[in-house]
This record gives sequence, C-alpha cells and structure tokens, in this order.
Amino acid sequence: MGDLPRSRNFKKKLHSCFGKIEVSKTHVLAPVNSDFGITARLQHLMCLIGQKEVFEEGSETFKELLQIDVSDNQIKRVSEHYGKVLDPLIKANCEEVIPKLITKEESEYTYSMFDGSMLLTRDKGWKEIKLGRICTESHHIDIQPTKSIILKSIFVSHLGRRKDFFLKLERFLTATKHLVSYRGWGKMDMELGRR
Amino acid sequence: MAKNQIKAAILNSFKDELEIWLETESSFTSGYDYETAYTKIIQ
Repeated sequence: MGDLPRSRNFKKKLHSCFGKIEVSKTHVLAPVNSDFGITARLQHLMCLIGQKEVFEEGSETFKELLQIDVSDNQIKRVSEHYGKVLDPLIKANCEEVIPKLITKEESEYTYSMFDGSMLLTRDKGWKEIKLGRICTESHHIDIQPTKSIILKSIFVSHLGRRKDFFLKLERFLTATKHLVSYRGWGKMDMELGRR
Repeated sequence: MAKNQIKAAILNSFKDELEIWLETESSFTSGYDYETAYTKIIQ
C-alpha cells in the first residue's frame, strides 16, 4: 500500500480489513499496537465481533463478511487486551467508558433485573457470575397487543462476588426515582409483556 | 459487451469516488480514519 521501500527495515507487514498488507513504516496505517501487527480499524472490528460472538464464530464472520483470515486466537488476544485495559477504568468509575442510562423524564420508571449462576473457569475453578439488565419505560415499546420489546438497555456483568456486582449495578440506579427490580430473567419479561 | 467496454464501465462507475480519494488520501493523520474511508471507497 502506498510507496513501498525496498529495504525490509523500512516496511511493515500488517493485518488489515483488506487482508495482509505491507506498508512503509512512515505510512499512516503503520503506527499500530506493535504487539499485534493489526491495524486500528481491524482491532476495533475484532473487539466488536469478539463481544457479540464466541471467538471461533467470529473468525467465520470475518471470512464471510470481509473475506479475510482472522483466527479465533487473534480475536481473543485483541478482545482480552482491551478488556484488561478497560477494567481499571470501569472500576475507577471513569464516566467516558461506562454506558449511560438515558431517561426521557425524571419521573419515568426504570426496570432492572438480575440473575446469577456458577461458571467453571479455566484458571480459578468455579466462580460466581452475575448479569443484570436495566432499561427505562420509554425504551420499552409495545409492538403487538400482547408483545413488547426493549429498544435500549444496559447490561452489567460481573465475574465474582455478589457484593461487587451490586456496586456496579447501583451506579446506574442512584438517580432513579421509580425503580422496579426483578430477581431472575423471566420475571421482568413477563411483567413488561403483560402490561 | 467487449472486455474493454466492461473495464471502462467499471472504472467509470467509481471515477468520482476515486478522484476524491486520491485528493484526500495524503491528508489523513489517523490510520483508523484512513482505513474507514478506504473501505467506503472500495465498497
């Protein structure tokens, strides 16, 4: 891509959204995280797909959509790298990286539901895992007389103790005036669908 | 349709986008923006 120098010392091989490319070290695409040799945009897409699918399926999605070979291991490495970078920021309550719950009116109802189970992890054996979902009344839309959908919601996940999970969950709920909370996934869906 | 006519038609179909790209390519300072813009052009 661009003018390519002859010497190996002045060029770089990269994984990009167009497949494997070779660029000059002075090219705008070149300054990427040297641990990966992957362009910034492809790293972004890997994180996006790594969140939505299991890594193996993500590899197939890249092949299907962009016709490029990206291994499940590469998606895992990049996703986990940025996950680790974000963890301390989330713990420190850094507002820029925490999604916001948008309410139309102060008085509107906020719904939260949460549940948990035990998960067998590779390195630490069985661990508690918790997942919560929060949405507001205005994002809950009736699409049929007996059916409704939630357009926007925030998921809160935590691998570890219940106490730490509630601290994460609470930060979205402190400004809420009317809160309806459900323990267990099915209950909130049933209640909202019944209205 | 002759091969040359097909080639010319294909080139003509993205002539404007290509011109814009060639003019703006050197102005990108972010690799992310560069790749995003290039992806749009080749699509």
